[in-house]
Amino acid sequence: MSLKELINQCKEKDANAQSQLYKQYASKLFSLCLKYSKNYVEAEDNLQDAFVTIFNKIEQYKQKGSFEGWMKRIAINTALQRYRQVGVFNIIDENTIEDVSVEVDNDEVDLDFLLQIIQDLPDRYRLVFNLYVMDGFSHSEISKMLDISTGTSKSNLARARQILKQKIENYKANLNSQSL
Amino acid sequence: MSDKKHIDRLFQEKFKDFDVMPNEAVWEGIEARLEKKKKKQRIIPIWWQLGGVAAAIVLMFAVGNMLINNNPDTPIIVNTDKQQSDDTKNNDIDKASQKDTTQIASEDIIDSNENNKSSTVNETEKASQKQLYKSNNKEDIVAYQNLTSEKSKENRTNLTSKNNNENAIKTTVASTNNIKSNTTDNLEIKSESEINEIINSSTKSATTVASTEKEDGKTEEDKASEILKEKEIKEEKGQDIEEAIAEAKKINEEEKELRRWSIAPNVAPVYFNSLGQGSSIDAQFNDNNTSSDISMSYGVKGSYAVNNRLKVTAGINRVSFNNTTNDVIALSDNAFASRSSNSSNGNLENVKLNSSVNHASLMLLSRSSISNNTVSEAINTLQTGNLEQRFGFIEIPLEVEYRLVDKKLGVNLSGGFSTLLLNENEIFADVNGQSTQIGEANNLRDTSFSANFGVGVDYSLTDKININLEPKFKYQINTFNNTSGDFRPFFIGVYTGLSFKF
Repeated sequence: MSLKELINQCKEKDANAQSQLYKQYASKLFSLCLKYSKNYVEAEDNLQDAFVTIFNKIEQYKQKGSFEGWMKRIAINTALQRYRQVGVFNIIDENTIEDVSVEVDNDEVDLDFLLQIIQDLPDRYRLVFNLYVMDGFSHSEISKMLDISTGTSKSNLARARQILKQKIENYKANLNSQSL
Repeated sequence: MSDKKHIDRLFQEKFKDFDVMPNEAVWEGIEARLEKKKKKQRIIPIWWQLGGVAAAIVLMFAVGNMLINNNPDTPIIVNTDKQQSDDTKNNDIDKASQKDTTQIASEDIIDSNENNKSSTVNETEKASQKQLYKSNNKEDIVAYQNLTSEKSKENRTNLTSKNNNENAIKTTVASTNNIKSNTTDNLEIKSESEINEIINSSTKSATTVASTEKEDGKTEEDKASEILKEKEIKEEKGQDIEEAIAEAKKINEEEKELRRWSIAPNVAPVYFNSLGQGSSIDAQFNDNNTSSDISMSYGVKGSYAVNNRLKVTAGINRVSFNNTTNDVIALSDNAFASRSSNSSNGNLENVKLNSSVNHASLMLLSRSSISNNTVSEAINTLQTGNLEQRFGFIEIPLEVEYRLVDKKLGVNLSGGFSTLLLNENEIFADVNGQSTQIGEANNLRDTSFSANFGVGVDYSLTDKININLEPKFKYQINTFNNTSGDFRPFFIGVYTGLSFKF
């Protein structure tokens, strides 16, 4: 069955089609949710909310643009929504810092470790880092989505990078000392 | 050895193929939450919605047909006959074109596809047969069914196998045009108009092929569109911020349920008139000027949203009209009563006079019906007055509303019909500034109908309250049972009001 047919059947609330659509995209959207969430459980919650929204609003998808992109935006917005409700966007200190080029050694770093340190970032740093680095939004877009200034967005990104870099270096130092 | 690299790149590359299957429980959770929704959705099955649309379309066609087409021929039969004759004509053309193939080639009109000419003509023919088959199927005309179904079987297979690109169809049209020029040279029997008809029909059928082709070639198209989509995914990073913001807002709205029911009190200035010249009162007034005052209609309507776009509305309205016939002479002097005996003008055809009005002593004449020569000076010097007809209805509209623009400022189209129950019926004579009720019209039906069409604009003040403005045209059907001249009444109203959703 083509994607178009699948979408049309989902619009008619066909249970089989919904299950098939889920199977096809669950892993992609779940990995996205994992990056935007604090932990695994929260990512699962996000994924569930996102899919419920997708199935309920699928008739609003007008075959314009990529369907996967549409679903991704819903997933991202579901994640952002969670933090909007909590109101974390306003409680991080706003000392702006310079964005310096942050470089790390290109060693093999464990993917699970990288995911772990993304999830461990403070909420807004994590969101800004994901939106900018992983999903290619600009600072002005991010500032509108999170209702912060572009300066804050840039500063958050720089802090996120520094924290991540620090953690990667510590991790490597740790590995080296263990192997010695 | 390790080289330095920007931390963004590290993450981007690492997560490029990041793919984690979530726990089974997640799907179970989603399923459980969808279950509730599904039950709600099922309350209005899909065929109800489609049925509603179909009913509206049928109604509009029926009314339109009644108004435009007075001859009893049903267009369906005409169409089928035409298609069949076209079909046979196409056969002729087919033969002719096979003969002419060489000639056409030499004429240099057609490009490289020329070689396929006879086969494409075959396809045109098949296509028209297929169309015929379709229409027969729909209308259950058994007579042609056997004939066409046989053909269409082979045609289907041919069509799907041979004709998988749309270019072929275009060629069909092109070549059919060329046939036109050739057949006029070679077939003397065919008149220009006949050929035009054929060309029209084959162009039509070519489009039919195009559409069936689309269905047939669906899988191919889908593949193509999937490839496109994959490209778009890559381009996605450049996603417009507006869209992202809109999406965020949408999600907010998504939390809210669609409010299905709404109730809207409304008022409207209404204006009554007739499409043609004529009078509902008496033939002698056919050419008199008429005028109407703008009167008010008020009422309330309720609506049920079948889905985001489609609403069914019903309501009740009070509406009254007046229609004034100018240049009427009223004679109440007994001295002129004798005239009524030899003139048919004395009693008006469609007016039942009050018992208090003395039949013999009242004469109402159209000024224009009195020729100056035959009438005494006395009448000529009389002032002319007006005849004012007032009538009102309880209107029960039943309409379908389709939302064209679903934004804060929305636009919708509505169509349907109203049942009109007569509740006011009076005729006044206004002479010398004095208005006297003389009776009532005896040709107004107690129950009549109107076909309605409107375009509405609404603005949502809050998510529960909308303000509406809807100009409507209502064509009255069967309101009068005996009118003179070309009297086709209608009224226009600009309905404004607030609607409350819940």
